[in-house]
Order: sequence, then structure tokens, then C-alpha cells
Amino acid sequence: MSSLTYEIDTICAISSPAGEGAISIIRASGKDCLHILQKIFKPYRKDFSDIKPRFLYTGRIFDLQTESFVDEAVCVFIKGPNSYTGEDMFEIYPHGGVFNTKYILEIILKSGARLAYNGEFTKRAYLNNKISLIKAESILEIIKANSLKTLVIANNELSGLLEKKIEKIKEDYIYMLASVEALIDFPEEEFENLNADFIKKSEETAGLIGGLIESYENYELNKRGFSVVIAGAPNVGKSSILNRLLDKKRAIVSDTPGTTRDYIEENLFLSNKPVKIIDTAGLRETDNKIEHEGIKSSHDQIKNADAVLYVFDVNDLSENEILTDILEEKKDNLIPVINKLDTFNGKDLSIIEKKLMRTFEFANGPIFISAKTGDGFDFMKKALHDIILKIEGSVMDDVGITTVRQKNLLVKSLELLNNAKDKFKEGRPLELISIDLRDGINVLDEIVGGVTGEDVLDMLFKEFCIGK
Amino acid sequence: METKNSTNSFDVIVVGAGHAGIEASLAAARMGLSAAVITINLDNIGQMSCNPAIGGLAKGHLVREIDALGGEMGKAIDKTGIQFRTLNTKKGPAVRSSRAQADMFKYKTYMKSALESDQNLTIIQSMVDSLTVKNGKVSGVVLWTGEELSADAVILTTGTFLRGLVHIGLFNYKAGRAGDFASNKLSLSLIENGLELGRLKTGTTPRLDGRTIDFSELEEQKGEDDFIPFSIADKKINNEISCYITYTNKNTHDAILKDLDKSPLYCGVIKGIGPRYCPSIEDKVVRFKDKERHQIFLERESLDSVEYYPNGLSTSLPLDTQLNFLRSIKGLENVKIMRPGYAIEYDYVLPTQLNHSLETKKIEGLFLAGQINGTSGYEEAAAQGIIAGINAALKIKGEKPLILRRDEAYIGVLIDDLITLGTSEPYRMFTSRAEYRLLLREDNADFRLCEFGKKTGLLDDERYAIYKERLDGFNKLISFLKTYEKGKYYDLLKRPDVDLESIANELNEELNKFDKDIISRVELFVKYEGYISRQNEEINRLKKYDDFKIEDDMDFNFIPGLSIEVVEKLNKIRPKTISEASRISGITPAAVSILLMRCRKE
Repeated sequence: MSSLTYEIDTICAISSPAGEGAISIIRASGKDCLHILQKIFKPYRKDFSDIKPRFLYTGRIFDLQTESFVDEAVCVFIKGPNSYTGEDMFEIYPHGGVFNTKYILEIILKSGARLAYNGEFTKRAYLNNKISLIKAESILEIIKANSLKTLVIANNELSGLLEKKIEKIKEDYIYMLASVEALIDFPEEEFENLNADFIKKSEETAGLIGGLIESYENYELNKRGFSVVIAGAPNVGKSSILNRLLDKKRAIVSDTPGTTRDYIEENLFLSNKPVKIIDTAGLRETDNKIEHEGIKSSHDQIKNADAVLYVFDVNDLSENEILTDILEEKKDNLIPVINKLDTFNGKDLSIIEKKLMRTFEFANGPIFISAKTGDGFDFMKKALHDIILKIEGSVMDDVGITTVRQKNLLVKSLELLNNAKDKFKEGRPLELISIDLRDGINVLDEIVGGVTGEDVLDMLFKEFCIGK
Repeated sequence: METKNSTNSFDVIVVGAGHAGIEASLAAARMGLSAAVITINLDNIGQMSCNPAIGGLAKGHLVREIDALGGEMGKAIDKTGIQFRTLNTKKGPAVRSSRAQADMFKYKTYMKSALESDQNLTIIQSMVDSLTVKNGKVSGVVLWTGEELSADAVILTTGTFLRGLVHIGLFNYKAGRAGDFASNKLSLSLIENGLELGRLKTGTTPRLDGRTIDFSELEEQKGEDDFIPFSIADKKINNEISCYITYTNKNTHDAILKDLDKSPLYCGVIKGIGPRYCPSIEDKVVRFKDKERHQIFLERESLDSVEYYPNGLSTSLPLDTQLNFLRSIKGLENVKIMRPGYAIEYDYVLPTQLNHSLETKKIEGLFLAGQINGTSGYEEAAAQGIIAGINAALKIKGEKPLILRRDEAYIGVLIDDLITLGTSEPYRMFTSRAEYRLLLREDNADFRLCEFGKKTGLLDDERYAIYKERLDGFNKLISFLKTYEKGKYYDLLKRPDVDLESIANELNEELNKFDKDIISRVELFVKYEGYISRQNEEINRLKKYDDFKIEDDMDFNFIPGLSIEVVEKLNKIRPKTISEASRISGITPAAVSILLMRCRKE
């Protein structure tokens, strides 16, 4: 195996983010860790020849090439296999400068380590049996998490909840396999209700797998962030709202209706949640071909959006056929926004509110704002936040899959399960059904861990009364 | 090679003349060596201590494999069987299995004559008390009368005799089985020579007086006259009797539960572990409380006897309880027990101490086969017996051992399981243990194994010629189907609803040239070709791991990343290749990949 060298050499990398900070972290893993650390780190007042694992040492970094000390730092040595990677490891915490950190890394590399590849520490943890593949993936997802929701899902994966769920599916699979094997290997036994049980179990299991496959869409949605579309008739100030939300002049604004002809997409954080704001072309009937395309695209955006800010001009609440269509689709997640409060010359805003609620069947009350002055923006953000919370709350189960790899394997497993189910119903040979079920389990196994022939027999003897 | 032939010096000594001992001694003798077989009781050669039957699911496969290698079991049952049936006919062809009721007395007589007709074989009634081992190599055995016999190889096939202890209720006594002495000293000799022993338990049913059974209301099960004989050398079989089916009921279960306190199983008197697939009736009643009845097959033991074996009623309850619950069963209201059911505990050698040749790793020249390796069943025993016999002979001849792979034979699966997984309960063969079930069918056992039988010199010319003829017929029919009308019918046959009979008229009478047996093999081959090639791909994929040898001196203790449990298992079993390692229970895929990195490809 060419990867022989990978497994025994010592790897090293800067683990803290790029850039200046108070303290950096340099991490190493592999068989030479102790040797390297003793070469480059000189602790104060302590003899380093009998270094205690898991103790913090203060001292200086020694550069062998210039024979001088280059920084003061703290270090810790962790003895394998009780470490993250399962190998000997050390961590050095030097001062957080960009140059000194890199220079110390150089020193370590010259002492016999090599630079780690992306994710190599976690890969070693997996290869050394410290974590399952699924956990390795979840760690990556935690690092990439961009919202509380994605963090929770990835953390549930790390803490083993996802594995438990897949184990449950596997157990069901093994039960089905055991049923088939019981029918094959014990032809003279009487098994009650076995056929009906098999079909019921296969349907339940297909449901569970299907649920997990769907959970990926949910995770993806959370990962890419919530999308909020700003929609409304032309020239009600949609682009001005976007600019005010972003606190910069992103969209071109003008008094000419139909200035925004394509959509504009921007990301921002709303109460710690990533939100994608999309400014769309104004919705109106038009003969202009380009503008017409823009309006069509607006419709698509609205259809895919998680929430809609529908903007009116406070001085013009005219009815709108297009809005009626949108309302039908996005009723609960649509916020009516009345803009241009600064130009309002009427007396009573409540009259406008009443009129609006009479004309349209809004589920949420209107918010009055001024994109020009910023008035009412806090209320609008709060309303938006409430909707996001509501959507998140509807996703009850925080245990789901997080990678395309997992999804593809589940899809494949489901296909094999359905094959087995169909063949069972058609009365095809059991040993062929057994092959599909075994393959289905093997595919699941690629997500978690091993199943042996013994598992099937254990289930068989536990569940079925056997023995002439 | 020089063969020994004095009265107390042999090439091979086989201890035990049960189903394993018979095949082992015949194999060694037929391969030209001087062999001695030692048994405690010459009247019980090939005794069926439990069920009077040969075959059954996956066991039928083993019998046909033994036959293809040149063994005796198939021929014996074809001639002495009294009812023959094929199981799983309604399921797929790959899991069909043959089963026969034996006339157990005729079977014993047949086997004794088979041993007696071999000039190379010396037959001795005695008991072996110890092994003689010099410099880690076996050199003979010591009899209980003090004489010493020498041999280059010793094959132990001791069955349930090692420190055998029979239980009937809370009464127990030392015996190898009801009616025979136990072998009480040999275990110690094995331990002294460094082998680790364990203790197992098995049981049998009471034997009933057929004159006191009312068969009139019971369901009858007849034999099949178009049954394909076990041995390829045999042309026909005779069905002479029927079996009968009855059921336990609530009264039976109550009678059993009432007396559980007199059961050695439930009082903790029995320490050995029993087989889960063959539980005693008390075990079934306790564990499956909701089941209202259990099926019982009444099987006649011999045409020369009225004794019946009630299959499904293994028990170690006291004799009066046995009679009580029996009489609650339909047809058995007035039954009399001729011999009580009993449980037996015995020593076995943890089979992970063996090589795939069935030679022990610790003691050179010492081979083990049958229940001593933790298995259960006449067929499993015979399968190991023939392999141990062949390999003892090959070793003495200085040749490489015969090791069948998992994709070549159920025998290969059996031995590989024992050696890589070990067993803590009596191990029985199941079709589900074979990952290449579609390839390992009863119908192609000769195609799979006759060449091995020929090569070792065990398979006789008669059987080899029959195999050759069949292989030829098979190939001819396949190539006819592939070429006739551009292979149209070959493709048609792949459909689930088409068989060769239904398209026979369109094949221009070509089919008439072939035996029914060949026709059904071809049909099966064509129908499952897709799946079979899928399994072949899998085999080829895994085969590459066979090429990764783990060096004998590899120190697992110092491989980073292996957990303590994994290291312990590896040290105990010492797998020779990566694929062996991957099959050891508890060896994770991650551990395998770590090992893989440390192995060179051969």
C-alpha cells in the first residue's frame, strides 16, 4: 500500500485561523511527536526528558538552524492512543503573530514532520478507530456550520444520535434478513405471521430511510441560509430597503419604475442567522422584453423563498392580481411592508392598515417603514426573525444527515430495500431477496460500521422459535 | 514413501469411529497410508446418537460435497435410507436441500463393513488415555490398557466422549453417550500439551415404543420417489416408511413448566452451552411463551425396530415428567418410553487453535475433527473428518494441504468459520453462513469438488468418470442453447416464468439427449447467471485480500491504532491473510485497513 508512509509519519499544521491574534495553535500527530518536541521546546526549570503527558509546560522555542530561541510558548504532549488522532500528539501555543507562528511551524517541519493535508488529523482519528466515518464528517460540518440549526444537527451527528438512528434502520434490516433466512434454513418450522411482518417492517424501514433522505434537504436549506425575497410593484422602494438592510448602496435606485430588471442577492446575518436577501424586479404587466424576463424570474424567486417582504408605497395601495397569486402560495410567510413613511401626508396610519387588511387576506399585520430614514426597520427585522423561528420550529427532528455521500448511500439502500420488498410480494426466490437485503445493509454499513453473519443469526434465534 | 505396518506403528491413528472418524480413517487408508481407527465400542461405529437422519438444510450440501471428494457418507445413506425428501422445493433452487431418514442399524452395519473392507485399515476396540508428544510433534497415543501405539499423525474425533456427563433430571452420570463409557483422561493430556478446552452441552429426545403410538389421526409425510441420490455413484433410492406430524399443546407446556425446578438446565447443574437452533422443549416453552404449539415429527429409527424418535422434543427433564408431557400430545396418549431423553455435557477444543488444514497450531501432526471442534451434526463431523484425513495423509506424503475456500464449498465455510470466529455453542451449518450461496448448490457439488477429490487421490475412478460425463453434458447443452437460433431460447430461459420443459417442443428434440439432472442444472445456471456473476465479481474483489499475507512474526502489539480488543483477537487467532483477519468477529473495517497498510502483496 502506498499509504503506508502516511500512517506512520508525523504531521503538523497551524490549527488557529489565519491572521493575527492573541495566541496561535500549532498541532502535530504521529510517532515522532515526542522526539520533535524535545528537540525544539525548552521548558523553564523542568527537565524535559521525562515529560508528563497532558501537563502544560511553559518554555521557549529553540531554532536549531540559528541556534537561538524564537518565541516563548506553552505546550502539551498527549500520549496515544488516548488522543484525538489515536497517535502521539503535541500542541504548541505560541504568541499569535502571523510570522512567528509560521516560523515555528517551519522549525517543526525541519525537525522531521510534514505539513498535514486538509482534514488529515480527523482522517487519522478515523483510521485509528477513534471515530466513525459519520463522526468525522460531523466534525467537518460543525466547523462549517453557519447557524444554530446547522450546528445542532451536526452536533447531534457527532454525539451519535444519527448513528443510533441508522443503527435502528440496520436492526430492522437484520430482522427482515433473519426472517428470510429463517424461512430458508428452517423449512419445517411453523412461523406465525412472518410474511405480514416482513412486509410491514419493510414499509416502515423504507419510511425511516426516506425520512433521513429528506432530512438532507432540510439541512441543506439551513446551511445555505433562509432566503427572503423583497417583492412588490415597481418603484415602491424595494432596492432602497435592500440597501438600508445591508447598510450600503448595493442596488441602483432611481425614480424610474423598473430600474431593477434582474434580481440581486445579498447575504446578511439576522440575529445570528445567515439570511439571503433577494431584491427582485417590480411586478407589473409589461411589454418590455427584458423587463418581462426579470418579472418572470421574480416569480421563481418568490416561489422558492422562505419568506417574502411585500412592499407597498404608503401613498398607493392599489390592488394587484399578481399579489393575490403570491399570497396563495406564501400566505403565512409574507410580511406586508408599507414603505415611504417619510412621504406620508395622510393623518391616520390605522386607516391604511384597515384598508389593507380588508383588501388582502394577509396572515401577518403590515409594518410601516421608511427606507430613506430607517424608521420601522427594527420592527421589520423582528417580524422576519419571527417567521424564521417559526419555520425552524416546524422541523421537529434535529437528527439528520449532513453530506451528499450519506444521502447517496441512503438512496441506494432504499432502492435495494424496495427491490427486496417487491420480490417478496411477488414470491420470487428467497435467496435472491436475501442478496438484495445484504447489499442494502452493506451500503448502510458504509455510513457507520460492520455487520457480520453472526448478527443475523443472533437476531434469528432471538426472534424466532426454532428447533425440531 | 514407506508405509508402516507393524501391529503398533501406523502412519495415521484416528481416535473415534463416529461420522468424523469414519471419513478420516477411510480417507487416510484410501490414500495409501497405514491407518488405525480406535473406538471404545466396535458395535457403535457410525452410531446415530441423536436424530436417525442424514442431510437437511445446508447439511445435504455437505453430504454431496463429501461424496464429491470421495467420502462414504452419501453412499451409505443412499443404501440404508428409508425415506428421502427434498426440502425447500417451493423456495429457490440454490437453497434446496436433501434429507433422508436412515435405518440406523443398517447404516451402522454398512459403515462397519466399509471400514473392514479396507486392507490398509486396522480396527481396534480400546480407549485412548493420552497423546505422546515429542518436541511439539505428536508421535502416538497411549491406550487405557497401557500399550503405546505410534504414528506420524493423530486425528482426534472424540465426539461427546471427552469427560462426557449425561443428565436426566437432577440425576447424572459419566458417559460418552447413553450406554457408552466416557473418556475421562484424554482431556487432561490435551491441556497438558497446551490446548485450551471449553465445555458444551447438547441433548436428545426420549425414544418411544411405536406399538403404543396411535398414528391414525396424525398427519402423514411421505418420501419422494424421484429424489436424486446423495452420491453421484448411485442411481436410485427406496422409500419404505412415512413420518408423522403431531403438536404439543397447552397441557404439554403446563406439564413442563410445573417441573422446571427439576430441570438441570434451569437449576444451573448444566454449565455447558447448548445450541440455540436445537433448544430443548423446556427451553422453547420458556422462551417463546406466546407460541401455542410446537411441531413434532415422529421418525422411525429402523425397519428392524419399533423405536420412534420424536423430533422436536429434546429434553433433560426427569423421566416421569417426560412421560407426563408426552402423554398430553395427540397420538401419544398411551405412549411408553423405551429410552429417556437426556442432555450431555462434554469438552471441546476451542477451534481457533487450529489451522485451516485442521491440524493444531501448537502440536504438529495432531488433527481434530467433529464435535471436538465445537460443531454439531453428523454431516459437519464427516465433512471435517474427510478433510482431516486427507490433510494428515498429504502431510505425511509431504504435499500441500487441501484447503477449500468459502466460495468453493460449504466445507470451506464451515472450517473457516470455526478457525476465524471460533464458537461458543455447538456450531451447525446454515445456508445463511455461506455468502456465496448461489454458487454453492447441492446440484453442482460434483462440478465444484470432484477435481479436488481426484487430485488428492481419494476419489475413485467410477465417481470421477460419472462427474466427467455430466460436466460434458452440461457444457454441450449450454453451448447448444447459446447457438440454437442465435441464442433466442437461452435468453428466453432467463425469464422467471419459463422453464426448459415448457419450451422443449421448440428445441427440436435436442433435450431428449440429456438427463433430467443436467437439464435442471442448466436451467438453474441460466436463470441465475446474472446473480452468479454478481457473486463472482464480489469473490474476485475480495480475492485480492487473500494475496495480502500477514507475516508470521508480525507483532500486533506495536501497531498504532489497533485497540486492545483487536490486538488480543489477532494474537489469539493469528490470521495468515488480510481476508482471514477481516472475517474475525470484532475486527473492524478500520482495523483491517490499518493491517492492510503493513502487509506486502505476495
